[in-house]
Amino acid sequence: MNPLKKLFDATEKHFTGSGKFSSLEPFFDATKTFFFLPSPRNRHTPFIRDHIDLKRYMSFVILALLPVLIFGIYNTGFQAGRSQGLDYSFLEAFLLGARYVVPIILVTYAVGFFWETLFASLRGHKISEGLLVTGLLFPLTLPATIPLWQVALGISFGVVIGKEVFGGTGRNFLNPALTGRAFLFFSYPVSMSGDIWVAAKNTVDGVSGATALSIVAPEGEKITAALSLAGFDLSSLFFGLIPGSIGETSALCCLIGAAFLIITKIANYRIIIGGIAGLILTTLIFNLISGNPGTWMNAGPLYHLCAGGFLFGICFMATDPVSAPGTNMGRWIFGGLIGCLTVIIRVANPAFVEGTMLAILFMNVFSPLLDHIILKQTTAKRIPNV
Amino acid sequence: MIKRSFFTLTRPKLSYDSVEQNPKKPESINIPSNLTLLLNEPLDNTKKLLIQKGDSVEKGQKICLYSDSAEYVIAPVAGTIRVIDAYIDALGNTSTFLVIKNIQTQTSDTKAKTYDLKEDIASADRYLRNLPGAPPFKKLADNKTKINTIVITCADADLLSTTSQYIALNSMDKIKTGARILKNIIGAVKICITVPQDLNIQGEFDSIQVFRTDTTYPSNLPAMILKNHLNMILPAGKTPEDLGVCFICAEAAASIADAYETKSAGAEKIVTIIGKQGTRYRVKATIGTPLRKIFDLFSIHINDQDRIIIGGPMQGISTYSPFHPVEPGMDTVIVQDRDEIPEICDNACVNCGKCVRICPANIQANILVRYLAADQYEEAADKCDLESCIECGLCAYVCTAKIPIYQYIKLGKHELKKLRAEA
Repeated sequence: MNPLKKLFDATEKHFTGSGKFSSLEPFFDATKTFFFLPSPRNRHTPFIRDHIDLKRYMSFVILALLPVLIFGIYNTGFQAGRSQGLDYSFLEAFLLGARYVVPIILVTYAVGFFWETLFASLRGHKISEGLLVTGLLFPLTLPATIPLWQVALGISFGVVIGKEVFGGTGRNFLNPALTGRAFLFFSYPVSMSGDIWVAAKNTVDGVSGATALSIVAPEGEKITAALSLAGFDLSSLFFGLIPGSIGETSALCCLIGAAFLIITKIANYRIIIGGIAGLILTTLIFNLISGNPGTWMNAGPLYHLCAGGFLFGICFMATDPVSAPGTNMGRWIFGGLIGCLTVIIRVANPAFVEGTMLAILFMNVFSPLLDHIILKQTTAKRIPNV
Repeated sequence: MIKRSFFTLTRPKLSYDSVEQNPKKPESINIPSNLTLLLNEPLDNTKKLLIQKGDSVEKGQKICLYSDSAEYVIAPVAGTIRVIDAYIDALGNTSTFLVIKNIQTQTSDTKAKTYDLKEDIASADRYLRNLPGAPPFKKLADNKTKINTIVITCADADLLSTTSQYIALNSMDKIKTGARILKNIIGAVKICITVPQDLNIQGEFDSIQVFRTDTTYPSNLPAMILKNHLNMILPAGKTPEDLGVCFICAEAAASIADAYETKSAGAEKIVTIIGKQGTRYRVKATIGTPLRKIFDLFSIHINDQDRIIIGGPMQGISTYSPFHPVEPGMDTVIVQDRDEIPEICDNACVNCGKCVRICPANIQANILVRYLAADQYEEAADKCDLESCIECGLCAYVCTAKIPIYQYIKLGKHELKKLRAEA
């Protein structure tokens, strides 16, 4: 027999019924069902049911995040090396990156599960599976150099205020990972700002360490030229060997994850495509009306798409089904407006160089309203029963 | 057990079970000493009961509670009435149950009371509502729309059940006779019969139109047959009868043929029983037999907290008592072991959208369930098409958060009906 299963079977009696640790039963159950499917037979009120449950559903998202995570770890090490003028091999960069990233992820899960277990025990409920995804999404939106106590604070805010006070997974109206990030963003702007790897003075290629979005071209120059001078040409923005938050740099990895989520029907393609379309349309409009070629207003759709955290946000954050609208038309509008708002915040508001997080949170708040309007529309179109 | 891989790119496909090759005859069960009959009318203290405890009844006698009652039951055996009491069903409706003590000397061949049966709907409704298979005569007698089409269903509506298929295999001639009688009674123009694709039925169907139904659930539900074979869409809140189509199961058609031949009402119902290990049994039991007796026959042991489901796994309702009687419309009974029945689930919907994708009626089930959970039944009907639901139960089957959506919908429809009746 599987030794892991043996261990669970042997310890189960302590956690259930009148066992010593029965107050920790939610925690035991959550760990066990992470490794093993809950009984595939019918477990609940409907007499038979499909066995794909919330935990499997969430683990699909984790699988989709793996390319982003692995690349993020490598890139972190690579950037750290580059800022000191060193060029690491893949393995060296990966190991160095892991030294930055793994503690952040561990702290996130540990603190997150602490809150989840606390609330689950208080409610006498099972630990909700939502944290599996939140706990990986949240670190990926952070810069690798963030102090760990800030990570703990951020995930606490995200889980408790973003989710648990409203009743737990399924009842939150904001994306908990983004709520936590927004908290850190406004509380500790210095560690969250773009200047992640303060470049050593002796770097030859002049990498500034600032993220692409904070670049403004000097008078008379085009933004795209200034970007490629700073090392942000379109291909590096697409493949992602640039400074930035852990998971957001590579557009390619985000798209691979998105494709996986769309094929397995976990993420709704309407939100992703709507978002990309909204972003492209808005950038084109800005291109037409803008006068100054040196700002992001004139960067064009491809640069806007690949730079910053837009693709990460639209593929993994906006598609969180709980905080997105429930109607299909609502999802198109939701995605489209996220794309549109992202560009508007990026170009029109000098205080925020990156707009994705705010755009998604903003639209999260509006998604019930979108659903309401869509339902009203459908009802109005219906032929009344005479 | 339905097997699915970890990665599921397609929606789950549930197939109807088909009846085994050369099926065995159903086991017969002796008429028990006490039979329970359910009568769909609440007791009313202000009116005078027509029957009393201790009254004796004949086999085939019509039993009504009050002189103005529209509801009746037919005594399946000769005996004496022992109990008359209130019964509350799963949705909270009050009705009445009667216990009849069987006179031990009779066998199932004892002659039943004969009726003055004519080939019209009023006469059929007067005596034959309680035939095995529960023909919908009451609905037909009250119905204002003219019925043009009769559909005899030889395909079972729910999974696991094979009762209708068994009867189609064994009594096709009776079904055809019954269909012809029904045609005369109702004055319908067209008779159709649904037969599962893989069911091998020989013989001529003459003027009867045959619909070969798909083996994928829920293609045998009335609304789906209307859509796939008759090109009609069932509007929200309407019944097939409102469209002039009447669905009658194979067993009802066969027992109508018997009833008109003998001028009396039969009372032996064929039921598919699914045991705890999924073993299928078939039994022929007198209406009113407590399920307990049937379980004993097949040595299915019922423990405390086991679950008894009346109807199939998708659409069934569980009962709280192993003494629940065999009813005219009861095709399937499933027994689930208590180890398979766990705690109550109160997860919130995560909007994953599986229910919306699988719903054959394209209902926005994820939003609907929010209205239903908040008891807002009118809004659910107005905004989320509560009444368009064809009650297949697939939403609850696929639900990621394990919400009993189908059960919510059934309760919602019931409550909505009550609200409208009060208004």
